[in-house]
Amino acid sequence: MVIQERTEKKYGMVVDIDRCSGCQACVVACQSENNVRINDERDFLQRRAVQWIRIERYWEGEFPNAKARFIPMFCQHCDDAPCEPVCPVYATYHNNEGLNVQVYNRCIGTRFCANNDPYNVRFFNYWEPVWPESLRNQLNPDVSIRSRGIMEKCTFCVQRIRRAGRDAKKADQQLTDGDINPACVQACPTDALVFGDLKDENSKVSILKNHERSYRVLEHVGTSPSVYYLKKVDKHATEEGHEVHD
Amino acid sequence: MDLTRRKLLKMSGMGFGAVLFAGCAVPEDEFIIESPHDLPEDLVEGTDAHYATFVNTSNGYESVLVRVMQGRAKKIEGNPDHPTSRGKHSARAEAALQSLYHPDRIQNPLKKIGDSFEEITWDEALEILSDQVKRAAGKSAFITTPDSSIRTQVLNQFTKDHDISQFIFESLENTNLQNAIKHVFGQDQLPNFDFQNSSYILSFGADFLGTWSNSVFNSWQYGNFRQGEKRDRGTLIHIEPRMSLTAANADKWLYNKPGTEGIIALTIASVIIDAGQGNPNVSSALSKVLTPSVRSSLIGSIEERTGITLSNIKDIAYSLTNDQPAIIVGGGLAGAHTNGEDNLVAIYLLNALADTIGKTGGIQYNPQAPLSGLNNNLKTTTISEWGDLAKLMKNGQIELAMIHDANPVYGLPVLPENLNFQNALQSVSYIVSFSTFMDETTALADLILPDHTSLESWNINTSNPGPGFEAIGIQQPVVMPTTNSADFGDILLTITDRLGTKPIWDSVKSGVTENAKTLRSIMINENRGSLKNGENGNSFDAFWVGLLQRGGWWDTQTKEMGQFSLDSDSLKRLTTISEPEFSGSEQDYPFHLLPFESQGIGDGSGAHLPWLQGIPDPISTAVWDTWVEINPVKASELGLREGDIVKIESPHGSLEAKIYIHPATSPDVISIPLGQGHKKYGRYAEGIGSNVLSILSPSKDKNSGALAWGATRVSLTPTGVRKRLPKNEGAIEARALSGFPVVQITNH
Repeated sequence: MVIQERTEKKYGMVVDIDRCSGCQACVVACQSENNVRINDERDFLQRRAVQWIRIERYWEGEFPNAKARFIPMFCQHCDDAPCEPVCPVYATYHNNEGLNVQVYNRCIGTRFCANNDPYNVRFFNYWEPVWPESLRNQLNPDVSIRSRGIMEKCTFCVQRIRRAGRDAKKADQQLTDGDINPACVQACPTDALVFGDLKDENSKVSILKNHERSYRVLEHVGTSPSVYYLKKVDKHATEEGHEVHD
Repeated sequence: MDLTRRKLLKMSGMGFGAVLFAGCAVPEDEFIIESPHDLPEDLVEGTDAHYATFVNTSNGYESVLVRVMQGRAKKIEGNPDHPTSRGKHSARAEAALQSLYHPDRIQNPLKKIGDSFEEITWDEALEILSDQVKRAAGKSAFITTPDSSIRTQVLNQFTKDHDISQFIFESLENTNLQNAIKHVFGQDQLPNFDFQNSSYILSFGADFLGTWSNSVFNSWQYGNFRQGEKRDRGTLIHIEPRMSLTAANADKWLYNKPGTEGIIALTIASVIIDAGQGNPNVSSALSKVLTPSVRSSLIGSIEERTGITLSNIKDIAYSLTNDQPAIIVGGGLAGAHTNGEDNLVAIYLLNALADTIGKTGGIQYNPQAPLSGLNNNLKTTTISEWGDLAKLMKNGQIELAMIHDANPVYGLPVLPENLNFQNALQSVSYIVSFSTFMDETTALADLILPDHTSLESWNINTSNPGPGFEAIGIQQPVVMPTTNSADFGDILLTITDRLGTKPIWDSVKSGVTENAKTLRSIMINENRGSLKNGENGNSFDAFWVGLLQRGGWWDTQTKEMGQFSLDSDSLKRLTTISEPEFSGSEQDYPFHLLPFESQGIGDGSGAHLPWLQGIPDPISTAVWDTWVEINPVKASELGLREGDIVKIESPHGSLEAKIYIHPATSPDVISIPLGQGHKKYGRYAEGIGSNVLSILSPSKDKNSGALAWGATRVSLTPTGVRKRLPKNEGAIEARALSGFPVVQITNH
């Protein structure tokens, strides 16, 4: 039986970078929820740290007019994802809810997907993840641990989407906007991240994605991301919105 | 089923062919359920429960929901019900899980025998402690950290009953801030800064989005300040010698020469008075001190003295009075100088001139907690007082030192008169630690009585600073204790009982219950609060369940309507704001040293938690190390590249750290994060980086005697060694690509 049913949902996210303060609460919330392995010094030195969501910081100008700008970066769940067609074993694919998902037990670790990913948000497990026995008590039973040799990435907390779906079905209710929040969205102290169904015209994400400040990162590459960003407001910006000099 | 190849072939011939054939496509299950744990062989069954409680982070208490499955805490999230958390939480709150399940937790009570520790029973441990408390009455010291919970009430009673002196430890002292708030507003705790309704925020050194005060509540407010519905976007101006997280988020970050924040505040006041703006009463009172000649001298010399241009000062002065409501907030480095207290008095007085006090979108006083036992406004022990304590210890006048939740051996710099706290502590005949982890101070202890973590213990607290109204939090254990630890408060109550005094309660839990009864009587008699009479039934049990379910009690209607009156002493201080003094000459020590708290590991108290070690510093993106932030031009003059290990020397010590070239650093300063350089503190903290606190000079504020932790000058010498700095950013500094910026900006 192959998949035929198309659901009415297409999940997406809006990130208001004018709200984001770069505080990193989302980063740790994601690692806790998704059993992301401990990133030690070696992981960072070898550029092999696993962060499904990270805060990128871009410099602009020099002292005393230097500015640091932050942007949360994670899988953009692209409609035309360049990482999907290159997987020889069909381990990464687009599901019927708009998620770019990774089937861990299919992945054979060619890393073609990471190679083709313009956002650098796919992570290869170069080592077996190791936790001291006592810390394993914290691991989330809803999320599998990824073993050495396979890719992993942001899933929009698919386990929460599934759970919310099951709970709604059990209670014989429809899912409503705001019922599902990935760990990063839930944690974000400034409410910079908003998650929801892009097909629902009245959802918060649908309204915000049409905001005049809305754009998508590296849109010109043609990836059609499901993540929309709202531009940072800087009163000193030029009309073109680039260089700022006081 | 034992499936052999033969059986499989047999089965496929018996009608399983269709299934095998369908296997050429991807089965639907595999599409829908991604995680292999949902496969039958390792299916996890079980239901989860969410408990509302509090975790104690180095930024104070955070109200959280903990997801518990099969007796194990799995995830921490903000409590959506609580007014200061609103469903949000910080990375430090999340890391309470790693504290709970840390592999290096102290498992049992320990007694030092020779150079090593031996496990003992709780009964034996309590016996030793009660003997020691009895023996050393009048010659004992108790060292803790600031706390606004029932634990402090228990501790206060304990120290009173047994004649023990109390000391409050903070790595980066907030004494000057506490004093300034008291001087200007007459308040014992910080007011609520109503950022979300403000149009204009002027911040002096207060990193309120990062490590200063209740950053989660501040950040939630900040989000609304920027893009809240039905309001215009607010403007944030930040003045600080270092680009902190708040500075990076400001519309304008202005570098000032360290320690000149008070002068800047006075100059802004002068411009406002000259323009005939601001609150007329305050303006006329201030102009008696800020006479026309003083004003013109301040205005004339502002750029030379502080590095801030007059046009910036005028812009700020104009906005403060025309872009209302406004807030002026100060803290951090602004109060970390020899004139720190005066700086903060001048800064907070600007609020009176700009008429922000008691206003929506301005500064709102916090009412006292309705539970009197929680109003413990203990003053942080100043560096001068630590010096006095060290002398007493050296002279054998302290015979018992008890330490809870503090690591002064790691966190105190060299004390006045070149005293070293570690040496002094070692002169004390008996040391007791209540630490959950083996840190530098605990390693010196003779007896260790490991405390529960927040997730294992009862407590009741008040938000400090509060949200502008009464807010009480209830902390409940969400899992069984994972080690053979005991509640710190219960230990003290038991000792009091053993020594023949009746303790205030039998246990902390009964204290929490007693306080809950008080809250219930407020609900019944005054008909107010977040729980309504009859909501869950009328019994105490129903009220208690309501408290636990919501994580506390609060009354959003209780606004403190404290009156503001200009204090003559505060006014007098304005005339005496002096130039800051620094330890070390400019010639020998060319750089100002600006220590700062790490976003993850804070002042070092979070260094044992791998999640917090792995949080990239928001600005440098560095992790798991100590780095020195230096101006790019200066670095190139000195021939330095990223990763070069340099020796940083102050008049009181030296350390080695890696260079990070920081485009937003002034050429005359270097900044070093706090938190690393632990000799003890578990596998994730030991042997990493250096401890910047160890090279601070014991300079003091001339009024309060508080540590002037921003007043040390240092020199920098390359060691010729270079190692890579672990960080998130790639090898090349991240800057926007022309035409394809990742972060896009707009001017509206």
